[in-house]
Amino acid sequence: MSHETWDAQAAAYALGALDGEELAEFERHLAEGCGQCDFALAQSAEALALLAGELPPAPPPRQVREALERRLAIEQARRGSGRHRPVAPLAVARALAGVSGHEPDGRVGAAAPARGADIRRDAARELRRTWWRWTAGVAAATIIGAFLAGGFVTMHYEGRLGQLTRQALVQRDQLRGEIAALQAHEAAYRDLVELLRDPAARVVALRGTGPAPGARGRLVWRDDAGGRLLVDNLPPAPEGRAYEAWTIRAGTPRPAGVFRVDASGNALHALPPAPGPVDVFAVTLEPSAGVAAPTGPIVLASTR
Amino acid sequence: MAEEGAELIARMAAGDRSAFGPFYDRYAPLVHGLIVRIVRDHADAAEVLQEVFWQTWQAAGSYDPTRGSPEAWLVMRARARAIDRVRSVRRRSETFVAPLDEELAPARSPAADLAGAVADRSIVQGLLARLPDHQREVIQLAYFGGLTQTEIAERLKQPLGTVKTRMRTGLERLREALRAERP
Repeated sequence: MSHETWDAQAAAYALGALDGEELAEFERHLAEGCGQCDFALAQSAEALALLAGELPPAPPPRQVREALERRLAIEQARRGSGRHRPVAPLAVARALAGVSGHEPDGRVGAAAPARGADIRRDAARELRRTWWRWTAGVAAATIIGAFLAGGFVTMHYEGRLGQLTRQALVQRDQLRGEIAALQAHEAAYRDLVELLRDPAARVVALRGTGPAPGARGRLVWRDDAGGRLLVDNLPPAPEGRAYEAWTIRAGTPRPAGVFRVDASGNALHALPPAPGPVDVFAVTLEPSAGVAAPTGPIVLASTR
Repeated sequence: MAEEGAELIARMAAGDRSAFGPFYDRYAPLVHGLIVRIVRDHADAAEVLQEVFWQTWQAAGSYDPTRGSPEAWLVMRARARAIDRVRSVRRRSETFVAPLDEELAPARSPAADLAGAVADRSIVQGLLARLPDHQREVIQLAYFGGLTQTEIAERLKQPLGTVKTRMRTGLERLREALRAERP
């Protein structure tokens, strides 16, 4: 076949008008690598961008930018909540409050010295003095007691208040984390539905292999937009390990993100777009930071 | 200009959220203009616009500045998404009973718009205006109308080979004009 035919197909392809067997044929030709067609397509894309620039300007609606800002914020919250660590709120709050249980001692010794009973006035005076001392002692004890008790009460309630405040703060942070996680979850499912609605998207089944024969995966995929992988029945990765997705083209795997599964073996993972058509999708068990080329066992793979 | 756009995309690829706002403000009018031209319905256009920019944010790492300008990259993605929308709307209107609202129906059906598109004076200017009518027609039907070459041939009642030749020569002329503009 002379290159003349490819030139015509490249033009139709650039305009998005190539269809049927010709489209498949031309994409195979491109996949094999054709500098001439790559150049023609790049030039056509520039020319068509210029054409788009000549259209009457259409100011974009403000709510689109706002919606995008919200999605970005949610995405960031999701990234942040990934590092959210669990806390034992009560234990921490108690340790911080440092409340001890000691009771103040209010007892005061009030024994009057013994005196001769023959001197009545002295005795009476002494009795009055003793009584007064006793009274003063009791009063002092009461005041000290009240002071100590007040101090204790204040300390106790301040401690309790601090404890409650700290608990409330911990709960607030937990709730914020949960809300962000739910919003991220909702956004992820919305993306999935959007993708499912997309006529250019395809659904790929992944089957569990080797260490996880019971695992199942469904991937909604679009070459230029990436995909969403739903995983069922995959055991959570051991400590320090995580699952990594791969898009494999012509035998070369490309990393497509690290993900974790929840306690019930489910996961929803977003895969970035691949530079070209993908032959096989796979998931392997890798170190939790992810690796550039697969090293661990394959746990899920698409069937061709 | 182009370097700056590529730089914003590189920052977005690195996860820099602060690059997204300027990037959006810079390219959204161009992208929105194209989407509105293709999908016609403004609510649909706003949805497609959001999806295009969201996917651009997520796929910023796939942009290769050595392969083309940010405009060409974005316009290609936007056009593909807009045509997807038009085709799914078309499929829905074929599958389901046509909407009762006669005002909305023609606006939502790109097929009904196509005849009008050729006569759309607002775009028959600039680069397109320099093309002979029969070349301009096939390019508009394909690029803005989302019709495939087979559909164009059926619609114009022309042999497929003729449609292909017109598309190729038309596009070659556009590329020549581009070379004249950006030597």
